Amino acid sequence: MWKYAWRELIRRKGRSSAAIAGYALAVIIFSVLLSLLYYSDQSMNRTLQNTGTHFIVYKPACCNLFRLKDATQEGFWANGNRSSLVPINLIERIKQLPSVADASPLLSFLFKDSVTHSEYTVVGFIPENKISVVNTTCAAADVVNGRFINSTDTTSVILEQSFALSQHLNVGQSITLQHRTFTILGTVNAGIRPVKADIYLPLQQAKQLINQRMLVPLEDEINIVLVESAHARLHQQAVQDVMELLGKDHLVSSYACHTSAAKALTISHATLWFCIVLMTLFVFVFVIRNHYASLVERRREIGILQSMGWARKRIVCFLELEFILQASIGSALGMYLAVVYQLFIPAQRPLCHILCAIDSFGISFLGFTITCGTAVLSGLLVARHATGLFPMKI
Amino acid sequence: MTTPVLCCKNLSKSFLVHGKEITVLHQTEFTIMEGEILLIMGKSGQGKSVLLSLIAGLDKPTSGEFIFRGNSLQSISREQSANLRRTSIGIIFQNLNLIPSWTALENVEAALEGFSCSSKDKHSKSLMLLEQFGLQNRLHHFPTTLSMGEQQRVAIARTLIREPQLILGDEPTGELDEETGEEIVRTLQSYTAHNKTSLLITSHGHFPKQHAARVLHLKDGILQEMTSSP
Repeated sequence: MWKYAWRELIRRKGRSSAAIAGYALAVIIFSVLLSLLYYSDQSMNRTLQNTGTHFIVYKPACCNLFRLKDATQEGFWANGNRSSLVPINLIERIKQLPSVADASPLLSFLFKDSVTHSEYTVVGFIPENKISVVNTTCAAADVVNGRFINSTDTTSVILEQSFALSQHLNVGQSITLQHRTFTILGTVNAGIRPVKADIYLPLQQAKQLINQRMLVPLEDEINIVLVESAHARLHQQAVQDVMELLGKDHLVSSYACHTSAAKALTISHATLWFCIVLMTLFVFVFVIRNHYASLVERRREIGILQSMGWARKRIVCFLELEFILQASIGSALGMYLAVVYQLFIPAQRPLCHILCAIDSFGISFLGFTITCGTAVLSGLLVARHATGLFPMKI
Repeated sequence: MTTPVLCCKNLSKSFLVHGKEITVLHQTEFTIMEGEILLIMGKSGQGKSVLLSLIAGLDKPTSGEFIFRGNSLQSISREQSANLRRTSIGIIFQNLNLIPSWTALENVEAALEGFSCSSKDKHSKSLMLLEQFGLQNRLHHFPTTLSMGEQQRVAIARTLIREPQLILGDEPTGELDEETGEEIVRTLQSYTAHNKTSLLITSHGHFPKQHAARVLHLKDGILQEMTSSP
């Protein structure tokens, strides 16, 4: 039967060319649309999956810590409340939770200046920990003047912009904290964050500073844990897991935007799948219509074959093989063009950014598979229908 | 003593056209014996082609039955009907019905699909038959490049290659000139005589009556015996 199918393909050039071009176009359109949707979904995913995925955990203290020199006016602060100290080894345990992407330690202390009697908050953190620090405390992107701090800046600080303005402090000047002089590296405007302070410095330097106000120095202790959950959809799970680990006497401070982000992601994925199904249906209808039109044109031939005594199965096989040849050649051509096309789009043009989304052989291959699959299935249905009539009716 | 190849009993066929029933064949009965040439004559539109299509299983009768070699064809399946056309009943159409995109040789070879012989055997058998019909120089020609007579010979070769027991010819000489028509008739006659094949021909007057053993006349859906040739 292959020889008959191949013969028809070669000898009816017009019909074969039209069919092959149709399949190629179907694959290209399918690949382009799917790539656009996939590209859009991935972009949204990258943005939203980390939206609202950060929170802090602390243990509110109901009374002043006996370890403080001035428990009435100074102390460990978190989210507008006094907080207790927790062991730093909790960080590693929290990091191991599957719903957590990262965790980082933080010290937040309220100082009372003995000379000026002014109050200021100091945060000690690990600046290099970009995952959990960036969204909870401050980041290099928040720098207004100067530069961001890093752990090797042992004699420097960065200031919150509002504090710097109120104290008339500028980048490059010095600031004295607990009889120690620090250089102001930069000022930041951290915006809305779970942890904010007037002065930021590396964790070790903050610890040394705080120990000057402690009767019993800090050991491996912190008062706030910064946490980044693995994904917007896993945020609630992460909060739950951390609370289970630390105990009910701890509190979490988080944003609610992860809920909207998770919903948006779900809608985006559902839209992508819906569009795939819709496009597959469209390809199926397009292909079945083409097959039917082709067989209407060849009704007489089908009748002749039946009158010659060809069994229905044999005729269906003959027609189906021809459809398979047309579909596989056309789909392969479409797949090739869909992949190669993006290689010739100049990178400078803005449109390339979208059209270059046809960067996945997998998407083009999916288009090939779906087009070929629908061609085979619809060809079978149409061929069986066409050969189901009595030859004289044909 | 010859045996009956085909018996047709109380055959009727009606069509529904624009809600109106049109009866083409009415209680038709006849028998064809082995090796016999039976001619059915009638004007155009009397139902001759319809009768042949019913015998060949290309359509279903409204009522009545056929008995082929002692077996009723009334309730056979579509597959069995196709099998019958492949092995036992051959048809030569009025409009020849050659596949236009296949060459003369390919049209004849296609008739052997479903037979258990190799491609090489099919090819050589088709080649031999077409050479017998004088078409050795037209093997790879498409039907559109053949004359009517040559196309008719290809159509006949396509039918005869399967060695059917009954050949149905619908106006086999209708489109041909007298000389070519005679040639076709002689070919068919020679074949049927040699192979004891029965031949049922329908014609509106072009087929020479003297070659038929019996002549029937179809008019207004009723088949009547006309003459018997010695």
